[in-house]
Amino acid sequence: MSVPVSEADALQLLRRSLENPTASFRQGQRESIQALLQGKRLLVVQRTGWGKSMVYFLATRLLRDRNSGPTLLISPLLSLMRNQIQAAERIGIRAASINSNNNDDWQEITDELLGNHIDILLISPERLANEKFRQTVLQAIANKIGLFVVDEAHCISDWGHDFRPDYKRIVRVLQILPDTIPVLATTATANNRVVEDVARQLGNLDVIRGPLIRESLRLQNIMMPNKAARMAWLAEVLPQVEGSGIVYTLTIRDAERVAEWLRLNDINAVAYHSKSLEDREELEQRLLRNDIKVLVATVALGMGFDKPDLSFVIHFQRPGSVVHYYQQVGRAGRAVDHAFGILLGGEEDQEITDYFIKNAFPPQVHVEKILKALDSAEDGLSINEMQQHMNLSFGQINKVLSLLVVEEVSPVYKDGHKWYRTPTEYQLNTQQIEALTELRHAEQHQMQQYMECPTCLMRFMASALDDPYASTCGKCEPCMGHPLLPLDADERLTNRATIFLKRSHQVIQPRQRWLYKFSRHDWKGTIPEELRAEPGMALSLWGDAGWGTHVRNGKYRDNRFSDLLVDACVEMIQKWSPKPFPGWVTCVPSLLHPELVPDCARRLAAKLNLPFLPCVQKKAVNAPQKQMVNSFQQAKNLDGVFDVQGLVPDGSVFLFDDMVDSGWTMTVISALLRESGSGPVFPLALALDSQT
Amino acid sequence: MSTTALTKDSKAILLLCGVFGGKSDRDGSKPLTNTEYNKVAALLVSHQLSPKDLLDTGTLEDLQLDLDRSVGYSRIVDLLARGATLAFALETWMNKGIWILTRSDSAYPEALRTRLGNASPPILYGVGDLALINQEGLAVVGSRNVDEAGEQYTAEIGQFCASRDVSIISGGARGVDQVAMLAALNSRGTAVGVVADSLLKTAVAGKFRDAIMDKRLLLLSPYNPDARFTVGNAMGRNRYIYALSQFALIISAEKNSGGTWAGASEELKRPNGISVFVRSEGKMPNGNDALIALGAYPFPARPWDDSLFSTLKNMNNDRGNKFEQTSLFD
Repeated sequence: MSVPVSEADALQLLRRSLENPTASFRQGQRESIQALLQGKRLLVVQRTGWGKSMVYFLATRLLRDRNSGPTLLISPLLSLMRNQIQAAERIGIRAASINSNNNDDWQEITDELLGNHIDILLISPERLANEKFRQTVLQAIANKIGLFVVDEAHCISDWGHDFRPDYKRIVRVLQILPDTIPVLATTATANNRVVEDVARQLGNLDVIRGPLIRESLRLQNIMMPNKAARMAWLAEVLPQVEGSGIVYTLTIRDAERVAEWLRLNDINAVAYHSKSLEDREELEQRLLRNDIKVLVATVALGMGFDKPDLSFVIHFQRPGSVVHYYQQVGRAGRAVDHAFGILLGGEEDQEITDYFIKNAFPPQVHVEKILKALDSAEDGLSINEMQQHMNLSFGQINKVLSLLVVEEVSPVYKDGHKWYRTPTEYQLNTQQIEALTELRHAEQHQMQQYMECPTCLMRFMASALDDPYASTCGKCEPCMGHPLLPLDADERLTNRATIFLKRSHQVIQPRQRWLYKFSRHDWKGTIPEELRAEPGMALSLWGDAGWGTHVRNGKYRDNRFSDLLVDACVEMIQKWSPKPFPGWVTCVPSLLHPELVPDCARRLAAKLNLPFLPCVQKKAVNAPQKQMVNSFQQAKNLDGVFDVQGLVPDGSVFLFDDMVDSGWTMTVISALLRESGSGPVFPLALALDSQT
Repeated sequence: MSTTALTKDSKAILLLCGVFGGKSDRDGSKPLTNTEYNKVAALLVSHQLSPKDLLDTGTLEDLQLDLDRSVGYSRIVDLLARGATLAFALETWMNKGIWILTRSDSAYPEALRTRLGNASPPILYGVGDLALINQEGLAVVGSRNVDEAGEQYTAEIGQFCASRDVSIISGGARGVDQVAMLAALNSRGTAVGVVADSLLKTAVAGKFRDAIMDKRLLLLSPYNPDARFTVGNAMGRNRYIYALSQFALIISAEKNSGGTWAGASEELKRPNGISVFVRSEGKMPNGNDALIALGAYPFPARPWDDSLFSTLKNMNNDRGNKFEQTSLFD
């Protein structure tokens, strides 16, 4: 394809879209546009803010002027930023986006595309996996697509830090795509290994690469093993830092707790993670508007979040790799002169990142189980049905299926809700998994080196990313020769944080549905109100730094729960004061440790001045409940196991156990107690296992 | 099949002739029929070009006048612009284990090329081991609704072929097709199914899946893997069943009606057709004798033994002046 492009044309368009009559191209922009107009395949590696969108907007405009079809942009971003859309509109580009949130608009957008009224269509990678979208929208509009853009292209490489299975599909689409259609792949983070891998997979790729360092960023690392100390540090330092920003944690639990702690210290903080109850887009908007001081986020706040005036990114824990760190800290200071990038290191960092590395891939035995079940199924299986066939959780099954389905030739496929086996042999690529695991450990080690780096931090980071322009920044702590922010936390605040960490009471949510038909009872479907447990409380999170450690020691070391735990429970109950307040205490029986739980329940009852009545019996040996990993198996494992004997008072009752996992034991015994005539049942436990 | 294995020529042929389902086919220009593609192919040959050259804008423009005289230049331009549609559709199919061959591929079945010439399908979708087409094969066809005796007979020939390493070649449809194929497969034999619709669904069906993984069943279709049943397609694929076989056995045919009759009588008329045999024992539908009257042979009566296939071969040779023996059979 040879299309002569006047340089003046392109420059004029640039100036018009930026509303700046003297604007000029950034280095690499003009070359990129030119290459696309020549029909080439191009990988652009440039830091965020360089102006990648300007490349595809101008290329789209120029191609459309030559009667090309619309551009398809695949990006994990949910929507284009308002300022990007305005820039596009000024050169007459109409953009539309199709995603899972605007289902009702699909038809209208499709019609507009067919009427040639849209110049650039934005879809998420996940959309491509959606059969309905492929059939109703994509098939209708794909006939004329004139430019193919893949954003965040580093996700293509499984060597990358952010490999996304859906990108495997994009690669195959691009491999089939005839080279009559130009392709632009863009990323802000890719080291040489990833660039080479992307180039190998996409074939015939030109690469345009720019400097990655961000000049406004001021970096500092602080090692502070104690979690409470880091929390105190945040509470003290954040109010002194101007503007708003992000605190990154490695786990959802920490995001929640740090946010709560900061709020207790009058800092406007909200947690942001994949299980956020609040609308995540709304949370992003609130940060964009500076309505909140800080989002305490996990990696869920990732690609596509672009707040040009973000003034700090602080890591509560050390991420798994320098690339991860670069990407997260790089959100700060895009359009302001100064921004902080502070990395706090804790004693738990290594253990958490080890856990992520270890659990990145499903074990072979899960893959085999699932394929075997699908093999013998008459007419496919839904994930729910699979849970009935095997003791795997929804998450475990989903992890296997989402890995399998993007294989070049997949051994499974999904039609409606059901999964089917295709006639394709499958072997988990254990060699590849081992190689990747090794790489992840090397990256983890490099991040540790960054944490301890005595010289320019920015140069270390840029070199780790193979940035050819890596150089000393003159702004980070090692360059300045003195700390940018204080190195220690206030002792009094640290003590308060320690107490806060111990006091992580957890609500035990009552189960609403049986999910399994119990053999001896007429229990199925919705659990009726009169058999349902009330919301309960757990003193701590299992294995947590606060009371969690005491619980663990009591259970596995001392075979007795300490009086400290009993006192803490009493304190918790006083704060909680459930209504109607229970008139007696009972507990969950165990055949394996017949005295451990009743002993503690008896002491607790005494402290509360309530009678202790161990009226629940265990009449059958079953597998340990914690080995059951999905609701179906958990409920089934309790079928016919418990019985209530003797006199049951009609008042409300505390049902005590040491640990709550899925909550099924509490659910079943509550129903038995209610059937035997007790009042409302309030589950009470020393620890909640956070796995659930 | 890897997505990188598609050649440029194949992509061009797929762009011209591929039916990718959904709205794309209804709203855009109509994909080329077999006959239309032959015209374009002939044009390319006369210019010493191959299909991939159409993907070059300059070359395409040079052919504008010629194309306008055959199938229309702008139609070709529209069809060739379907790159993204092609990519999305093929990715979905290939991900589920479907492979694709076009006439330009060297692996394209030689039997289709030589026996059908221009009538061979430009695109062939398949699942399973392609090498199975090199095996000696008996086409077994008949109506969907066959009586018990016919079904019994069909199963027996399927089992017998399995025991003699002869493939059953059939249409994969309900009735005779499936009885013959499953009988062979369940006796550890091999089969080739040329399906007229729903290749993908057929391939994942429990009853066929194991045999495909076991490299004992090959499913082929000239129609896209999601294609629904149409009478035209069902009739159209019959000739491919014959073309891939050395002999054909008609289990049951209604005179002057239905696909079995149409396919068999067409094959009997074809100058280089294969020998067509007809089940000729017990109670039979009226079409069976009528086909014999048209030149088909009665199939040797049961019980069959080792001499069956040499008998068939001899009868084939008798018909020899009409039939060019393939090397596979010597």
